[in-house]
Amino acid sequence: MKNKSGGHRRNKSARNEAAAGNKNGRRRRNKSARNGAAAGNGDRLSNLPNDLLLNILERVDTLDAIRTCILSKQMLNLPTMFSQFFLSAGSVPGHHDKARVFSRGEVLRTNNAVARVTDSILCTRNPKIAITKLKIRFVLMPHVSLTIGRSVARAMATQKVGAAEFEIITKKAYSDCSSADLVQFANQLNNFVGAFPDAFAGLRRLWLRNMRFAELDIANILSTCKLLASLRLTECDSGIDSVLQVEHAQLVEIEVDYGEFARVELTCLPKLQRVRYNNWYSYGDPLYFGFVPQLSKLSLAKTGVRSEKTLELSQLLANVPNISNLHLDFESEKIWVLPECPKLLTPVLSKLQHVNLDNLPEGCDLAWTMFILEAAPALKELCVAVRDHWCIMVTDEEVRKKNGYCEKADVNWKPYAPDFKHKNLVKLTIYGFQPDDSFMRYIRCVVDHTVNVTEISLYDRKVCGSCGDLDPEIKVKVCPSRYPQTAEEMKQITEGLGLASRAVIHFRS
Amino acid sequence: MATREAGKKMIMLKSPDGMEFEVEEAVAMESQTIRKMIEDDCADTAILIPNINSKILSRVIEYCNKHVPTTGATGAAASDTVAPAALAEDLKIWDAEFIKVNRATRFNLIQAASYLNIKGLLDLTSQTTIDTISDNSLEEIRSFLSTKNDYLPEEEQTIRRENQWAFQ
Repeated sequence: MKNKSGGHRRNKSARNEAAAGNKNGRRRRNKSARNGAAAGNGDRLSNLPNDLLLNILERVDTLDAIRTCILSKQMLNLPTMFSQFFLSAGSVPGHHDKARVFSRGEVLRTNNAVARVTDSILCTRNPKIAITKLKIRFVLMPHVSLTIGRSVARAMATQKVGAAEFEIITKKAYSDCSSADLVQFANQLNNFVGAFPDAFAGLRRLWLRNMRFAELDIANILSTCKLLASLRLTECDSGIDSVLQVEHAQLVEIEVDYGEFARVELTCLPKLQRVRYNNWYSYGDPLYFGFVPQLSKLSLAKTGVRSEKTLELSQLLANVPNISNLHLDFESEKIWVLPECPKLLTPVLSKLQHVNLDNLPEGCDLAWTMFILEAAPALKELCVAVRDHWCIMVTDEEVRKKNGYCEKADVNWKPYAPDFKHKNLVKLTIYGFQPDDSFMRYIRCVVDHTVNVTEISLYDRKVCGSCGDLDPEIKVKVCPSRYPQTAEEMKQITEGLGLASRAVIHFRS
Repeated sequence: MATREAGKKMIMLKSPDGMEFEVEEAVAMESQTIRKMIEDDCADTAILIPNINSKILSRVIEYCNKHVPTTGATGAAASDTVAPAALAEDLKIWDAEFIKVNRATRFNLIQAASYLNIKGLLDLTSQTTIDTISDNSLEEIRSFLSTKNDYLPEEEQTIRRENQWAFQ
């Protein structure tokens, strides 16, 4: 929730005027600051001038901010001066208590409140203060959409509205949805867009979940959302094995998580810069790139199984000349990218500067990752993260077999030119470093084939929030990390590597 | 405190309790308020900073010292794109340490950041205020903000009735 205060500064004078009701806003403000300090009320925030209170209150979600202000006459009017809004159906009373589980009824009640508050606050706020951010996260219900659509459309017509964003949740989680439910949610959304095209026309960001559209629906929605810069689809598709074609003049960013698309075709997106695709079900190439001249960052994450295609970057990226940042997450399973030879790859990776290979399975040889060095002459940073991430891995042997999960296996790879030297790589980062032959060999190999690496950072395994709560049965299978703990062990490793270059080893965990 | 280096212009800042701080002009100009005074030529001898006592002012100077952009000091590494990212990471860690202060000090720092118009410090102090209370209940936020319930009983009833969603 980091604040961008560009808008703040612009709004300040309007706010002070509104706050003080006269032109002496500044003088008053200094006086109140002085009084606060003199009276020794060092922690009395409500003694702060309005613009400082607003700066603080706009960092919490809007319902909480209103709850905070509502029981004080002095602060009651502050919400009318907000320039940033984040209204969320998740802001159930008591949601700060992490141990509490909320019922669907509570969320739906808060959802109604989101609609009512959106309506009243957009009507009653000071229209002289531009809205820099208006993010609304709500559950798709006909009466709620009606209120939100109407009030947002009206605000867009009558006030300055900067970054407007809808994050639309459905009343059922994906795991509880039948195919008919997905279709119904998509229909509801279509109706919503059809009823309030003006609200959607002003949106900058849109995040949809759990919807199965008809063939042309998504294209229609996109043509309504003329200003859209960011689109995220989670568990959305146009039917099993459907193809999504995307054309849009303004889109900068697309994220797709799951869904049953056979392929997402980014046919014509002149401003597109970032693409993230998290787990596709397609058996061929999940993405097709048409005219995307500005695309520079591509993130792919996938739990690969035996039957699925191994991607060939030379083909996948054939139309994408400007990729500078590539993030591939293998989720501790099969390596689904083919180490191709530089002759094929260099034409598509010539601008590549940062590569992140995430969640490589433990115990497998890393040498194959050198194919990227061979093919990407401009590369500056290579980050390799190795871990068997037990929280997300399928561990049951039967289930693994049935679903085609692979056994651990080294990726076949031979250097194309055994004596090649990379000139631009400066930084190698390894997560999940273990003091064994495989890692030591890999580090030496990278250093041997580069001339400019100055910084090698070694970290212990990455750990997520739930890694500590593993099932005890699985926990015993996890090899404890042997990441060096003492200065002596670290020294041993550094000396053991015996690097003759100016590269410096840093132990960062 | 900044040490005097040849060729660097120094500025004297005075706190109301009589302490004087000699700082590099570039460091002082992290504050937009002081920058304006310097640019308007109102700062030939010493600048009196009202409202901010020496304890807080020295912390603010410490912050500005750390955050003033370094120029010319970096050698060959300056061309690496890696350097700024590492620097930003460093600053973040430093900020997190810097802001480990009690509420009263943080409150004073918010006021000082506002008066001196130092956006980075204002963002840091405000965000920390929210981060430290966001794990807590709304009642704690209210008490932290010292929001006084100044309604008559019947007024409060009306407010509660009209805004039931806030109190469920």
